[in-house]
Amino acid sequence: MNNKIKILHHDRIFTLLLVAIAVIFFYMIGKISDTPGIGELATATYPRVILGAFIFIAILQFFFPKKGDEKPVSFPVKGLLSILLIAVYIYLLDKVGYFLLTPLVLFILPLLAGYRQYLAIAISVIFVTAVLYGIFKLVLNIPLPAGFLGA
Amino acid sequence: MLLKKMIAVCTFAVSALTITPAMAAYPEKPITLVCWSSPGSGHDLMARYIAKLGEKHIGQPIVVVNKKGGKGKVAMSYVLNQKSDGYVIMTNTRSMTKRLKPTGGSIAIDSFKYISRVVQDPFVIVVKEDSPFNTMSDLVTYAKNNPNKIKVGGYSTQSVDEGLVHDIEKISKINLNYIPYKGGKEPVVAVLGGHIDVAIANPSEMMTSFQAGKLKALAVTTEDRFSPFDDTPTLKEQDINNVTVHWRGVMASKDVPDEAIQKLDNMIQKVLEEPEFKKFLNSSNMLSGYISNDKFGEYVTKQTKK
Amino acid sequence: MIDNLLLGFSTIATFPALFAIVAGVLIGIICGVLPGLSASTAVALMVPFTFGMDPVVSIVLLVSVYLAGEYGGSITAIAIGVPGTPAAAATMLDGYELTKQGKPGLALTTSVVASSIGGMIGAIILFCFSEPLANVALSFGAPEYFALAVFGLAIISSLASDNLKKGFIVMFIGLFLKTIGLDPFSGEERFTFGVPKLMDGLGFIPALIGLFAMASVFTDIDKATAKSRTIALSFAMPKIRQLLSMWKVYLHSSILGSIIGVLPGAGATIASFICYNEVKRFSKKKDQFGKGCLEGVAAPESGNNAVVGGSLVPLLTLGIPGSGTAAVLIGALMLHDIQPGPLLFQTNGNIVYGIFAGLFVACLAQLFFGLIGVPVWIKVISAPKALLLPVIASISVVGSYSYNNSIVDVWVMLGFGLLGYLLKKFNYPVSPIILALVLGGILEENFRRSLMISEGDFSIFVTHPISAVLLLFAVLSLLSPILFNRLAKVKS
Repeated sequence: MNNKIKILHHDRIFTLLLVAIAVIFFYMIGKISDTPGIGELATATYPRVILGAFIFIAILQFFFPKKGDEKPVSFPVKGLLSILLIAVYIYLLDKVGYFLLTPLVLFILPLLAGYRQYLAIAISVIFVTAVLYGIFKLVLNIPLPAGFLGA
Repeated sequence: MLLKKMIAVCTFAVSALTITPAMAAYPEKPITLVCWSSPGSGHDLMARYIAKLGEKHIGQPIVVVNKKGGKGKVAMSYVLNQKSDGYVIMTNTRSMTKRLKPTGGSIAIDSFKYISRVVQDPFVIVVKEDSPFNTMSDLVTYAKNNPNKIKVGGYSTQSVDEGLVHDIEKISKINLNYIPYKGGKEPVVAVLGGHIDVAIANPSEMMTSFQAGKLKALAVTTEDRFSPFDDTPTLKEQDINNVTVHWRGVMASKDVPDEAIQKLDNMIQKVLEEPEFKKFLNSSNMLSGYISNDKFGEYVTKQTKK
Repeated sequence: MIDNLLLGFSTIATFPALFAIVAGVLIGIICGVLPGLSASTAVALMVPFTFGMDPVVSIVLLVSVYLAGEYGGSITAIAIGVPGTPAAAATMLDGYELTKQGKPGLALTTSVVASSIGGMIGAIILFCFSEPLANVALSFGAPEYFALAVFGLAIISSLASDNLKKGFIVMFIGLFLKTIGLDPFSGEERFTFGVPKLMDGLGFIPALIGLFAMASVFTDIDKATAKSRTIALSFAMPKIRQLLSMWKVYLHSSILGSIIGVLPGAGATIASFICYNEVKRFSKKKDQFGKGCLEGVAAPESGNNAVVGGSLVPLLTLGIPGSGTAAVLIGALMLHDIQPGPLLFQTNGNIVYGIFAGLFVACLAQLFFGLIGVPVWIKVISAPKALLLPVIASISVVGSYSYNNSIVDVWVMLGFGLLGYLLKKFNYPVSPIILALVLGGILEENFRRSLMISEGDFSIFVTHPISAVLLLFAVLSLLSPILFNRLAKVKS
């Protein structure tokens, strides 16, 4: 019995998190105008209905989860690290430039995934950067963040 | 190409002697023309034609960059955050300035200098071929007896289209049911499909269906009639004292030196005389609407106050 | 009719036109493969190149890019589980399963064959029935579009049939996220937090890239260990008999796809999902869908390529774009002083019939290059996953940035990446969000517009016949998996 509650834990915590976020947004709708025009729905009505329905089903899910939902979830250290890495990458994009940062990310991510063939990584870094540069810069001429190297 | 550049350099060298030294060299590097709508749209095409045809008149390449979002707000805040040296300018429209306050805040009418109005895009009020309405007075009479029953579609809310409908309501003392659509062509489609009664549309949005005889035009919103709607009376002719045209132009940050503004304005004036630009206006059913920089700002301010 | 056909083929039987078709197909496939460059972006990117070209050549080039772009998206969807275009999210459901089973060749070949057949049937429908189909486009008003959106959303009950509650939770997340931005009617801001970029709503392409591409990077890195190996992939191709036996699927989906393509605003994504659902509904091996069923690859691919022909119907006959890509095509036509509309068939017959013929030839070119490509793609995905992941990550970033030249879109992409990662981690289906994001806007806007037209009277949805029928179908398809489940339980 005790064991079962423990297993259900993770899925229920996630459901609760979703409900909590939905409630915050539901509260925010209060600031949106509620006066409709002729035969018209107010701006706030539609999001309110959607969020209401969402909260209703999420609560159903919380109390009556399906068998199999109770699978335990491991704490995602590497997953979170990779998200953080990408966030830093995006943050620095405008400042440093796409074609300086990308090789770096191309190098770090495989290491994070546990890959240790340095030569293969190095070759892929050079090859991929060259191909991306070729397609976006030379063929399609799409402007990318240039960073301090200038436009 | 090289020769062209050399001539350009010489021209600027000569003008350097006559105009103030600080701005003498403008433009000495490529100019960025920010466009607030997506590639391929009518607005984007105008920007690209100005860029393409303007290069030889101003002596530097002009690069179009699309900054879409927030009904132009993204492009405007981008332009205001760049150096005010005249190398970053942007396209504007009436619907964009219509949403701005005259002054104050981070973006307002007086945050910009208005280089020139380039084109004007009048409205045509259309109904389906089998509609009982043949003139504006038919419509007004019906609306007087049936308030809120006539469904009028137009582009977006708080738009020039909606403003025009409200003006007509006020002048004729009637009530119409205005229904906003996401694109300019959608109301025309809805009229063709019989889902609404009247559409407010620019010529480019209704021309082909009109020429095929599937639409009737009740009125045009210009001062005088224009081709190919020579048989369609203006609103004024039908006792509705209103002239409403949409326009598109070019503007820059308010701190850009007047010399640069003047040069850009001269360039646009020359672009408008190019046969290729005239052909573009013709094929996209727009009219030339040139207003020079000294009058354009005043024009925009007056329109916003209304 | 034969005269027109001959006129069409003779118009494009020039070296520049044929070259344009081949180049267009290649560019389209490449853009389709790259997430972020959807068919419509690819076409928009090509427009400036066509400035100085002959009108026929330029329009044939753009149509080829459009067609191949819709196909190209399925390659990455099958190969690495990252749909290159929104429509390919449906192809991924079964296609990626096959790759996981080590059989990418089956899915990739089926996809290119189904796409090309779909494209051809779409072209034939465009040629034969453009007049009557144009009236279908006109008959859809606000209540009809609302009903179509409800019908599309009802598919979720079959997409997520093994866990309905989670499917609907995800759908409502999508519908809610779609409300961010300016209210289309009052012009008021909703949940924009003062960011001007968000006034236009969350970008759909960044959302797609985040949910699939970025999220898969996070998930895989999380799972990866030093010892993890890539699956052994076979180069096995489907037998011709196997491909031929699916003729009903191709035909059914292509017809459905072209009709959906005709409706302005609906587009390839909706077509893909509806075709997938309909073929599943009528299939004898329902339970194999989602587990690597070739029919589940063929249906959406035939459907979304048939959309190309369909969306050209209202474009050429009425001058109304049937999809976002078609809107760009109209701009390109007008650049060449060609007014799409009712008179086009008389004034520029050579161009209209040239487009039919061009579309047809482009399908053949697509089939040829697609088949050549299959072994190449298998080779690419045989590379160690640890080397593929960073490539996906960097393309995701550049793809979402180039969508609008905006760093805000890249953050939106990362946000959706996080969401997709969490949903996968907690075993939620992801594809309902895509459907909800595509349909959410159509749903709300047309619901409210209908009520404005009817002055607040809800009966408008059932008094309009098309709307009533679609809503009835929606209820049926919503209930059918539940009823089938009950029935199966009773039997056992």
